[in-house]
Amino acid sequence: MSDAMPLSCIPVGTRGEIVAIKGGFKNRDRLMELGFTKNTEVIPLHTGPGGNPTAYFVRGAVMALRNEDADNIFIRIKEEY
Amino acid sequence: MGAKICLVGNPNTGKSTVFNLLTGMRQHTGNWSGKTVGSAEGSFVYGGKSMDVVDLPGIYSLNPISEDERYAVDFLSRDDIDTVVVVLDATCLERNLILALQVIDCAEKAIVCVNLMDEARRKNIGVDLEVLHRELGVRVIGTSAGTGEGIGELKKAIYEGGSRCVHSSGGAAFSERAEEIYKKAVDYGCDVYNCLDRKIDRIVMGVWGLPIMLALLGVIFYITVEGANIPSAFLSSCFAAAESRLWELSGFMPLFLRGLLIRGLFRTVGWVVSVMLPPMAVFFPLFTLLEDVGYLPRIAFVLDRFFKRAGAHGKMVLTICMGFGCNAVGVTAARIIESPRERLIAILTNSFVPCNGRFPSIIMLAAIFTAGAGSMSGLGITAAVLAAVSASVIISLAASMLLSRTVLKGVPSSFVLELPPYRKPHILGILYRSLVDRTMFVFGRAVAVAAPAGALIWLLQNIHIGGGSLIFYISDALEPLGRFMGMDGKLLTAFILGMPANEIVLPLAAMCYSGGSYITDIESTASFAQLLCSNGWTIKTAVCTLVFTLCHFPCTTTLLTVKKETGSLKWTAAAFLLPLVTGILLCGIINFIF
Repeated sequence: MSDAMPLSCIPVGTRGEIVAIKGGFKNRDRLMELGFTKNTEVIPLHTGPGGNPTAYFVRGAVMALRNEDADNIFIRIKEEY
Repeated sequence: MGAKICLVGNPNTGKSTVFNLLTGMRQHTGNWSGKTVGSAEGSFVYGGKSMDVVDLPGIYSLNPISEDERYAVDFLSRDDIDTVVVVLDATCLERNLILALQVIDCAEKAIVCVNLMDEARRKNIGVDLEVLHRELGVRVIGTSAGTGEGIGELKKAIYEGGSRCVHSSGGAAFSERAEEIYKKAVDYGCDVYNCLDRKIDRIVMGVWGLPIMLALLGVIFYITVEGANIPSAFLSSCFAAAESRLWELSGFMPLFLRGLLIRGLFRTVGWVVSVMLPPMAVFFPLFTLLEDVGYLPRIAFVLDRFFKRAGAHGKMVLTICMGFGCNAVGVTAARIIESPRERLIAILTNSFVPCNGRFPSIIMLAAIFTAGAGSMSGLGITAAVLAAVSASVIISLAASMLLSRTVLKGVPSSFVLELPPYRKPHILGILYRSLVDRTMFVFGRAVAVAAPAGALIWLLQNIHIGGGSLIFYISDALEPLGRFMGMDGKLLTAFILGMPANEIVLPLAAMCYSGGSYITDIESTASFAQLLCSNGWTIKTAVCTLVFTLCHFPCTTTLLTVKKETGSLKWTAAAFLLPLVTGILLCGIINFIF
């Protein structure tokens, strides 16, 4: 987990892989149902005006998360897109 | 009783479009997650067998969080369902398959319908239906509901009945199994980072997001303002001609009855239909166009920071957008908000945004400002309408902030919003739905509500007790409050009588002003504005009326919907008082300052 960082910190256009999801059970379960599961690839696509929220590509869909929520998802960077 | 079929799937996979194709009905469809919040039922006949179909709200899993999802999951657990049709989005199978596996695992009989095949082809995503069939163990049909492709095959499959899944996932987590199947069956050839959708997104949701949104709304308002004048003038002249013709023809009737039916009832209906209906009929399809393309969630994305600061949920933008069509629909749409606290905020503040019925009033009042400023151009009116609508959203946000700091305290809950792919709008469908369905609905309501209200006003004007008409006593009693708010008693009377439907408020006000006597024909929005001006209206009156149009008690339909959605008289009263008190205070302040 040493190289894992919160999803909200990884730059737009980077491919990352989810290594862990924190936060309360309810939040975690919800994020997992929406496709944010362990080992899944995530790509931040763009941020809104003011840097929040951010749109992510995950499992074929584009999902927007506020940075507060994206902080609960930990990512290992795979490669630059 | 025919076989009972229900459609389930992730949000925005086109369930309602499939439903419409199967049943020939015209359920509203829209390109965003959460469009369907209740269920719709229809039926079709195939091979001499009748099949009842139920369209359910979209769900992400069988563990419901929001109110609309709970509804769908509860429905699925009923035991009288013969076949469950799982509708999947071919472009997003990696996630959609998780739900498909869950549903197949517990359903008695299931069919998988892989929808949006045409979109997948366009995006260079290959889906092998044969592999899906083998892996899932149930029948798999590929469809494109937008074009009708595969619907015949789906009907046949439903007729033959679904099949019970033969091999269960064997304990493996659904998401892992979904990934395994996905890798076998799908060839994903789409460049997710550089495709056209992302390029558009970077423009409309970037730093220019807000100005682009305002410009788009401005264009819609401009088309509404300019485009409504032509049918409006035409309808007015028709109604005026019909009125004088009816007056001649009804010579045999007693004068009192003639006045009541023609000068009261018929004239009010005529005004509502000719002056209020055209802007509604133009605005509604244009706004639906934005919805169909998939722009609404982008607005939610761009505006989210403001809603976060107000302690409201980001999805409230979607309920506000639905409120532009009808506040009652906006209140129901709040089911998509998971947190009860934020859902209540969205319900209570929804009537601050002008619904379709109040929209023509706003255009008319805007015309008075611009006339006061010396010009009558469509651009000026558009700017004033845009300002009024922006103000309504800002007031709605301020009220949300107030609520979330006082009676509905709490921290913003997590917010996840799906941004759907842009889709080509179904222009013909939109036109049909808004011009035929919607216009007929409004027309029907105009007759049902405006006619008795018009007759009532005429009676109030023409029944005299002790030297004054009844309306004189009523508006006289309301006069002090009206004066305090920069308006007058007659206007307040019109607002109160207009409670069943907002689109009749200004026509009723005009009735009050004209005193039931013969007045010049109302030919268009502009001449309607002139009538008001000739009755002592100033720009201040127009501003105060505009503010009160935005902030006053919701219409009866909306109140009943609030009661139904919250199940509480207390919150219904709050939904009544919050905008009313805000309106009285704002108008009072404006009146005091100017």
